[in-house]
Amino acid sequence: MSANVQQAGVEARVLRVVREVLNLEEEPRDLDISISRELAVDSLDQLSLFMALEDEFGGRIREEDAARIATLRDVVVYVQERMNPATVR
Amino acid sequence: MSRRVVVTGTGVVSSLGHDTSSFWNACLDGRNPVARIPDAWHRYAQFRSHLWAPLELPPFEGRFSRMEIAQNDPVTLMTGECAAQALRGAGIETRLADCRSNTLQVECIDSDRSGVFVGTGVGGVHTLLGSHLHQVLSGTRERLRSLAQSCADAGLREELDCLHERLAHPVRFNPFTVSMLMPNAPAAFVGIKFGLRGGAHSCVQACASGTAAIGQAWQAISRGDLDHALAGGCEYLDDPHGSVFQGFDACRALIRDCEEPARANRPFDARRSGFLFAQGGAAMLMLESAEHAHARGVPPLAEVLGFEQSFDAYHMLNPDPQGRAIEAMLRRLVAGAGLAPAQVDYVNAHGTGTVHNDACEAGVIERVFGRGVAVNSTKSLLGHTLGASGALEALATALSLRDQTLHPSLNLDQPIAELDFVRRRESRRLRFALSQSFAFGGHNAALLLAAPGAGTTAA
Repeated sequence: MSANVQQAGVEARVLRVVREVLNLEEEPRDLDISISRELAVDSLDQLSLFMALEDEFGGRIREEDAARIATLRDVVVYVQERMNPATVR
Repeated sequence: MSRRVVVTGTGVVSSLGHDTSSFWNACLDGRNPVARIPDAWHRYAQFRSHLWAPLELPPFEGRFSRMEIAQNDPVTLMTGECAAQALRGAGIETRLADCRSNTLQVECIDSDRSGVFVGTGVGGVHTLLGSHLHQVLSGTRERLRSLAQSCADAGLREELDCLHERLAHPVRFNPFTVSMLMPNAPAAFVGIKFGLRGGAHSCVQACASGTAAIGQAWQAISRGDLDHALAGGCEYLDDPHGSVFQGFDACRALIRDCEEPARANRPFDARRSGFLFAQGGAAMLMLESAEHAHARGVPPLAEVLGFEQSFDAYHMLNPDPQGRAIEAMLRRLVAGAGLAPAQVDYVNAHGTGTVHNDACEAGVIERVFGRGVAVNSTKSLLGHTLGASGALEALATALSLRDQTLHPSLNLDQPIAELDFVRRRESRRLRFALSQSFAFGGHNAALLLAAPGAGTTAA
């Protein structure tokens, strides 16, 4: 699997998880939006979102790392670099 | 002013069905969910009892959002599901109030005059035990795995792998443990979910919790404080090691005679040996003033005529053998509704199957109502769902009055008293019925219900 294909797969899965957890009618189209501002995710919502991402991809999002994740693109990068994107739910 | 209060909707999650129709048909058929306890539990403890009534949870996906499922214990979600069923059954529609939180707004009733009353024995113990296991075991388990990987001795490595497997635990300490554990969570969730602002009340009286919650809802509507209330009880005592089961087993409360599982649960039988531990269940009733139900054009299933409670002040686990506080409570309840004891047609008994409860309860029933009143035990079917049991039994009582039909009390071969025990499904003329619950701690509670229309003839 090429890196581009894998990245596209991770992006799609991240967007699906975000839509499901935040109960959005449709998936966000812009990966560079702010999770706290545009998606209005507060600290408790963020806990749920990160738990769901951990369940989706395996591994842990460490608290010190969570503070640095500001956009959906940050999430995708974190998943690719620090989690297990090959995990199948 | 005392207003009449009716039941207009019902909801249930149980080992005999996840909707009122399935539940009631299974009760009338005398079905019994008894099973042997999971084999895996035997690795962690030696048990005296070997039987339980497992509960298969309904699928929560599709009923609740992913966020709601992540942030709430199953006991809370079960209660929410029952509340949704009860509202639908009462003809009360909902619309989406907020997409993110997936909260709803009830239509056609005043949400400021609608309350929630939920009883539970312990609340979200499933979540607490899971988080506790993670905290205590995760480090040790990792160390075991590391030792196993570096171990050259194949036999020792196998043993370390076996220990590693035995110490399985949830993948994380749930960050919502507190709000999932707290016993007020089910009531709070229902209030939030449906935007009911008339108060969300929690009732913690062990096995009398559900009965007391419905009783308190009746009081609030009867007094005029509220017009509508969702009321009931819930329990979910799931853990991977049988620790909660062991808590009841260790104090000798559970069935000892497990040779014939289907016949082991024997309330009011001479060979009874304890109660059948049930993994959980929930039931909710929609109560409303008779005027409001009439104005909405909704026919009641039954009427709630009264509620009373009392306290033994005797022992934490055993009932007062004389049943003095129970007897006084029942006499007050019946007289308060303007009835004579002989007018009560049916008692849905607490009927646990323990030696002490059934002896005490049979004596009280005979003294107060005589030998002519019909008696059965819903616990002979479901086992003991603890904080949910009173609500499930109030539901069974209301359905009995609606259908003029009683479910059988199972495995009653040698009754301990000459009462009119119902041993097979029976059609009866039923006007007034009692549902009663007696709890660890000494809490007693009872509801008096009437068939639709019968209540108007009571004083």
